[in-house]
Amino acid sequence: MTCDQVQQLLDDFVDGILPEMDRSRLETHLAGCDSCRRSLAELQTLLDNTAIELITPTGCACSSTTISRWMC
Amino acid sequence: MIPVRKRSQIELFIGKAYNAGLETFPQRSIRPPFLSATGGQERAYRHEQEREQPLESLPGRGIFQNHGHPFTILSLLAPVTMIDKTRIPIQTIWSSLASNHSNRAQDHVLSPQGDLNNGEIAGHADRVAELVQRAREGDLPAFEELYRLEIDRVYAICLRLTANAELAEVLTQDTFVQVWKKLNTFRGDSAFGTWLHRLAVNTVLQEQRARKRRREKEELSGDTSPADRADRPPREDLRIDLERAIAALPERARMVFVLHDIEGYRHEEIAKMMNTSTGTSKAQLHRARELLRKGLSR
Repeated sequence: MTCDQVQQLLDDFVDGILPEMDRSRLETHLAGCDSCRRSLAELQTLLDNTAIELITPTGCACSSTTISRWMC
Repeated sequence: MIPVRKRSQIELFIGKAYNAGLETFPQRSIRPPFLSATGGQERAYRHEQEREQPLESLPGRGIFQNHGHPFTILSLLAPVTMIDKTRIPIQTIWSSLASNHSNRAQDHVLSPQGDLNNGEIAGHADRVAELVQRAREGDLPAFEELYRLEIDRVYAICLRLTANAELAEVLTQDTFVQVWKKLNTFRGDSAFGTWLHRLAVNTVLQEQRARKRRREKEELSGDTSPADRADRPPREDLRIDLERAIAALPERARMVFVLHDIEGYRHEEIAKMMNTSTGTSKAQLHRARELLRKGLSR
């Protein structure tokens, strides 16, 4: 498996939907490839940060602007 | 063994639980949208569109025209006959809206632990079910309360999909107008929250298609790409950086990223909603993640 192929499969890998056979091959590649491991780490960091930081729905500006406009 | 991201935890965080039927995905706090300065062009266009048509000729508008509130969810509602001015005095509605507004933040700020207990969740679900039933029968106060309970969630998805606070406001209102109109088609096969969420996504997608058609028709040369919208001074906070980076993504890539990684939809669902293939959805997600990784590592 080449680095390009790994890069294409990393999304499915972190999402846990990569078929078992591909997953084994990908893990073998990762074990010997610093560059792809770095990509994986970056991707996981991004997704973890997204989950942690963006779990809170943002307050609707309707509360401060739209509704006050209705009321004026 | 390389650790794989724990999908179940993430999904719980980002709303999969909500999609799975829990009516009360916790809303932790109220935060001001940081994108308030972004593109007012769509809104300007919208207002322009509305001006072209006399307010009285729009469905539901006539009822409040003497009160000077043409742009309100209630005044947009159709059919007009369901709103009986004598039965529901206008001042009551305004007071209710004002009261709801002033109390809203308190309503949604949770305990320091940030969680609802099971009793509160069940109570909320029961309350929503009751309100839905009453609203289906034309009970306006019930609809108002439903609106108040769900507006943050609807706005959050609209904002993330559009990366435009003003447009998200408009689409939030449009969504609730659709809720009112289509409530009698809600059969209760799925949770109301799931139905509402899907309605919000569809409202955003419809607007996006309409905007695309307008753009093509008018052959606009002005650049209003999402990437330009995010041209603001850098901030330290990670969340802000993330939000900015997401807002700066190309539109389709952003939508897939938001739907998949924040809202928890599967590629098959996204493909159906966006009228595309799962392969395209995956490709857009890959593109979005790659751009975010590069953008955030700078």
